[in-house]
Formats: sequence, structure tokens, C-alpha cells
Amino acid sequence: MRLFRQISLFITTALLFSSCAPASPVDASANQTTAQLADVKLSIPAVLQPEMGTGEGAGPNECLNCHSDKDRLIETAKPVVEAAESESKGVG
Amino acid sequence: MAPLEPWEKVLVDLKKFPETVHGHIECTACHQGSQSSDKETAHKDMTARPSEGDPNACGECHPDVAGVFSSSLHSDLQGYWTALDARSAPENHPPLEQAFNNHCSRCHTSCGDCHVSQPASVGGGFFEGHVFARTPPMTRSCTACHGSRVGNEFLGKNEGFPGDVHFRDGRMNCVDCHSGHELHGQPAECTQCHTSPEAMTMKPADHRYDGVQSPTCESCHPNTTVGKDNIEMHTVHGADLSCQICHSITYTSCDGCHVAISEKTGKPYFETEATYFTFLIGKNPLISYTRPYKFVPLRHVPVAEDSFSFYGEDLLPNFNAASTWVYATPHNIQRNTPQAASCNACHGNASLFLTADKVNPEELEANQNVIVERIPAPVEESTPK
Repeated sequence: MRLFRQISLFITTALLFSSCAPASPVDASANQTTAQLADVKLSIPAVLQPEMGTGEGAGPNECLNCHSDKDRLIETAKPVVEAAESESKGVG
Repeated sequence: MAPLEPWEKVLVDLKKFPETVHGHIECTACHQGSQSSDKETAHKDMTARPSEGDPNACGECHPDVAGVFSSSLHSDLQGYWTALDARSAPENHPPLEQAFNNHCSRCHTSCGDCHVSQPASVGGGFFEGHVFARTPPMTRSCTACHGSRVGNEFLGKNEGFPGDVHFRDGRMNCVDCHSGHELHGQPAECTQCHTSPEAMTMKPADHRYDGVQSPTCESCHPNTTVGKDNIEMHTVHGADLSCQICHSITYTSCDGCHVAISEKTGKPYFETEATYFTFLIGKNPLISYTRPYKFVPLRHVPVAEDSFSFYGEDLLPNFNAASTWVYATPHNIQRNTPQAASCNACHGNASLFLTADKVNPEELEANQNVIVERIPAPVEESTPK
């Protein structure tokens, strides 16, 4: 009987300790923040990739440089031409 | 809408545009030309309006829309040719094509006219620094073209007449009824057009009222069609009347548009003889499965027998083959209108109906299919519910 009690105590103790064991390894990706995920480089087939105008590595965008500069546009704009239908009368 | 300064039309918003999807695409990918600080060099071989190009540059990324848009009424303006073909003969087509290209084709719409710039026909210019708009801004896009009739009616700009209740009270925009699919010339669902055995045989739409009625008032007001709303007039009239017969008010009609090229400037111009307000009910010239109405409102369109006389004599020899008073859907809907105030506000009220005495004698033959010979007789008055 004493032996039975000792065996039962051993099994109970073993079970209690087993619940303190480390869990199975955590999937690291599950804890990634949105910001970290945003850094992941997606592989886009070259054929679908647009030509990047403002991205890293692109040279100065001369089109945008001029077309965002009001003074430069005023300087280089074509002279105002007469409206095509200025002689029109009535409701169109 | 105040006209934009030349620089303002092409000023890119450097804060907003680069943050958008289109802002990540190299300018020259759509516009051609080249990257250069020198304007002449940069603009060499440039396409200012890429959606007018062949192929349409938008189709590169939006092939589903660009593919069907080219055959939409916004793009091909087939409605004009439906009317011109009906009134002319094949030998008249070359000069009419010349007139069409000089004048009518200005109404052609491209992707960019709705999604990034004001339409070319009103001078162009970016809506918002080249930022693309998925939904076109109503007054700078839709009513910039559809202004003199639809826009003025809908927005309440006709003095003395309130705007459409859908705008005035509902704050609804054009696209709340006219879906992108419709505007692009592509029904959202096959069954939108092919609703019945009869509809299965329909040819492609070549007129704004051709094909299935879309949108319909009943889409949002379904009870009016099945007599569930306890409104006696809906029950009594059913599909005899288009909704606008009772729910629209006075709208614009025009007479006598003539087109020519200016001797002074060499530029095309037009003149319309008259613009006036009417509300006239006539026989439905387009009775179909989806437009079964006996009566509809009619609007006078500004065509005249000599509208194109600058381009040749008698170019519309079959002028009487199509009516000059046409099926109309005025965009000034009201819940309560003078003609629906009581039964006899309409019944027996000759002033509301297009009778022969109201038609220009020269156009009597053309309008036989819409002229009302006998106006509905007065009825015993009852209080409308």
C-alpha cells in the first residue's frame, strides 16, 4: 500500500511539473508587426511592374519638376488662343 | 465653372499626386515624350491626352474597361449617327461626316475627360493636380458637358424651377443612378439587358433610350410598380405613363441649331435659334418591352432641315423620317407637381399635351408619331390619395 502511495505521488508530481514545460516553438511570423510585414519584399513579375517614377533609384523627374512649378509653367505656357467656338450663339 | 488659367490646367499637385497609384508610374509611360528640363525636348512626340491615343494608354492597366468603352455612346457618339442616318441618305454622308467631325465630335469623351481632367469641350484642366478620381466630380465633369439641359434641371439652375428632389433633398450625384458600368457602355450583369425572350433579340444600343431601361425609377421605388403604396394614381395608370409624366416639371427645349465654319477665324461655331421652357406630353415613340408607356414627356431637339446647309444643300432629305419632339426624361423630378395635383389638372388640360396646333407647320409630318390627337377627357374628380 505504501509502495502504491509512493508511485501515485511520483506520477502526480511528474504531471504537475510537465505543465510548466515550455510550449512548442512559436511561429515567429505570427508576432510580426504590420510595420515589419510592410518591409517584406514581394516578388512581382517584371512584366507587371510599372516604371517607377518616384521610387528609389529613379533619377530626377523633370516632368514633375516643371509641372509642379507654377512660375515656370506661367513662363513657358503657350499664349492664350481664342476659344474655338467664341462665335457660337445660343445653347449648345 | 470659372475657366482655368493655362498654367493651372497642367499644374501637378506634388504633395498628393506622387502618393497615388498613378503617381508611381513614370510620366512618359503614359504620355510618351522624354525626361528633359527643356520643354521642347520633353514634349517632342508627347501625348497630352493618353486616353485619346491609339491604343488608349489606360487600356494597358484597365483592359476590361477600355475594351468596351470604345463602343459606348460616350465614346462613339453613335446616337448622333442614329439621328443623322434616319434623316439623310448614303450620298449625304461625306459632307455630314465633315460636319460631324468639325462640330458634333467635340462631345466625344475619353477616360481622362471624366477621371483626371475637365472635358476638352469645356477647356480641359486637371480636377485636382493630376490626381485621378475614381468617381468623376459631378459639376466639373458630368454637367460640364450635360449642362444646358440635364445639369440646369437637376441642379435647379432654371430660374423659377426647383432642382431635382434627388439632388435637392437626397444630395444624390449622377453616379448614384448612372453606374460606372452604364457610363462605360458595359452592363453590370448580362441579365440587365437580356431580361426576356424579346430582349434576347435586341441589337446593340445605338441610342440613349435603346435597349433596356437603366437606371429605372422602380429600382429604388419598387412599390410604385406593384400597387403596394396605396397611391391611387399609381394603381390607375400603372405603366401607361412614364414616371416623368407626373413627377417632372418644366424643362428646356431648343430650336434650329445651325453649324458653320467662321470666315473670320476659320473655327467651327453653332447658332441655336431659340431656347425655351416647355412641359409637353406626347405619344411614346419608342414603345418597347421595357418602355411600355403610352405617354411620355417630349423635348424639342434643335435639329432643322437646314442645320448642315453650310456643308451642302439638302443634306437631310428624309427630315420627316424622325420626329423633332423626342422622348425625354427631364432630370427635375418632384414628388408634387402641378399636373399631378388632381385628376383634372391633367385630364382635359390641353395645354399639357403636344397637339398639332403646338407643332411648327413645317414639322407636322415629322411628328405624326408623337402628336396627341385627342387629349384624355376630364374625369369625375376624386381626392387623390
